[in-house]
Amino acid sequence: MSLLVELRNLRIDTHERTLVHNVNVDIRPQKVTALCGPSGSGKSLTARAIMGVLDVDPGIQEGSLRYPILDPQKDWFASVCKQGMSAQHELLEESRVLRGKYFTYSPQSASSALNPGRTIGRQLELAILRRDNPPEEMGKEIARILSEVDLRASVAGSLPSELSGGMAQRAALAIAVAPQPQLVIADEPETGLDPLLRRGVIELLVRVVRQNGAGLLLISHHEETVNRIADDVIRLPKGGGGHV
Amino acid sequence: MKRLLFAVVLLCFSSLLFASLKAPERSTPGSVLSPYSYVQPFHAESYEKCMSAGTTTTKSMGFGNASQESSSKMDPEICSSMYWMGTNRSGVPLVEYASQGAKIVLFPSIFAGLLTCLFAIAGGLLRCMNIPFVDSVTQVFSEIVGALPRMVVIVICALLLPRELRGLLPLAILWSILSAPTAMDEAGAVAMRLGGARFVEALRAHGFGAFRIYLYHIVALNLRPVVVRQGAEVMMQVVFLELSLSYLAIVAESGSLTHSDDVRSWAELLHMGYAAVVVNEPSMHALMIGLSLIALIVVMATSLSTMARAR
Repeated sequence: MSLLVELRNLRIDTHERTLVHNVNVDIRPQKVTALCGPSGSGKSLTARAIMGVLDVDPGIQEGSLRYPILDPQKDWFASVCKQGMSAQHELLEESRVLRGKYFTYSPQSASSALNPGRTIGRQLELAILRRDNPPEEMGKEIARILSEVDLRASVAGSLPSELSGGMAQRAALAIAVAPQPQLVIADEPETGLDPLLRRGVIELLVRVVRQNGAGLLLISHHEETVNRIADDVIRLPKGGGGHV
Repeated sequence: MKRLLFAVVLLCFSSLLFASLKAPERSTPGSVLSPYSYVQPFHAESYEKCMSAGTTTTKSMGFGNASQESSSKMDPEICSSMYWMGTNRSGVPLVEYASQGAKIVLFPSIFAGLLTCLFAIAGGLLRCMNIPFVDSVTQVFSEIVGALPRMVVIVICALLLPRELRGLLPLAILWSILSAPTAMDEAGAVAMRLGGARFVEALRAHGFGAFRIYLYHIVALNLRPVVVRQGAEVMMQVVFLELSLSYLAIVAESGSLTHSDDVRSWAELLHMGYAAVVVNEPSMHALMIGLSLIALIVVMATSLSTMARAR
């Protein structure tokens, strides 16, 4: 089966130092891949590179990025390596069609994932509209997705500020899976949650992603969590660099 | 709720716009010998008597367009009451003060409000862009401008402006610049609560383009309440600034700093009202009109802020 993501030999530099080097990531469909390592090892940066969202100067120096399930030949980093910020901006624009559709992203804190100025229902609706064939009965679909993440349908009318931390995290997860992506990238979804809630949210994340037939790239520094749920683990040492 | 507030804002704004459009270019010269002196606001009974004389037109009912010629054909005691807001001691209709005052404040206050909105938007967006150099420049600007005593700067600039350039607009722009640090800081704080650059990154990861992220998700959905509130507050403050500077000029018996001497400000209504309170002159209605106009501005600004906050 084709891989969802094939990242090879990634190296990202600032003017002062190398942030990550020699990072290789293969993400299989419908599998949980964990990217783990200590703080500053470049986990989030690697995930952003996979999404084509980079704003590091001079940025990508080496590496290739392919989405084999879409196009096995196309190397998205071919015109970006050693080309600086402008090339990264072009990559950002070029890969925009994939974000929110082929893969979705759930950032570290739910407060960043949810737009405080919009109700959860409206945000879910926007996410659902990214599907190739959006359902006709939007209200029912929103209620279904909310129930999938153990939230009541009435949450659709709430603003993010009206939700508790755990509810906000579940709402963020609902928004991440709503477009029915091939891959969900979750950046430390347990951040800011107490240990009990953390376990619940991670298990829910894995369950929902599997139900939707998507792959999951989980960024975490909790070894216990990673060992429990991941099919593949990529460990980045301090200073970046790692393999499956 | 939102619609109701919108209706209130629209009503207040239309009243001010209508009044300023109808305002005469120059104020009616008054005379202490005028038979209209201290006419109280409109009474239906006397209005009917006046209309039955058949010599007046709607045009002469208000906004200071009544000419001495047309009113001389009628009983002045009766027809003077057609000035439905009454007149002052010199026979000048108070509606003229209201309309000309609206004309003085309307454009500069709205312009200053919009300028402040732009400053607030810039403050919020710059914080989201997370460019260290720009953040430093903004910080320096905020610290220097924010430390200036606003009213002192305004008075000095008002006095330094050449007489032909005097007007409310330059002072309103200056007030808006002096208010910019507050507006930018507050919008910046909202942007930081959103997550700043991380929020932008999350939206990018959802596949939104730069235009939609910055203008729609950040400005329209999240910065809107604070931007509109800052703009509305500055709009209101510019009106108060005009009132205070004009009042100062009246008390000091000097030329106005905010408008030409041919037109009259709302401050004169308040000054007349002051006489009613202190020396018991029969001009209490002038004070009421002045305060009502100020209330109109406060209601408009408050409704605008609440409307932007409402879901």
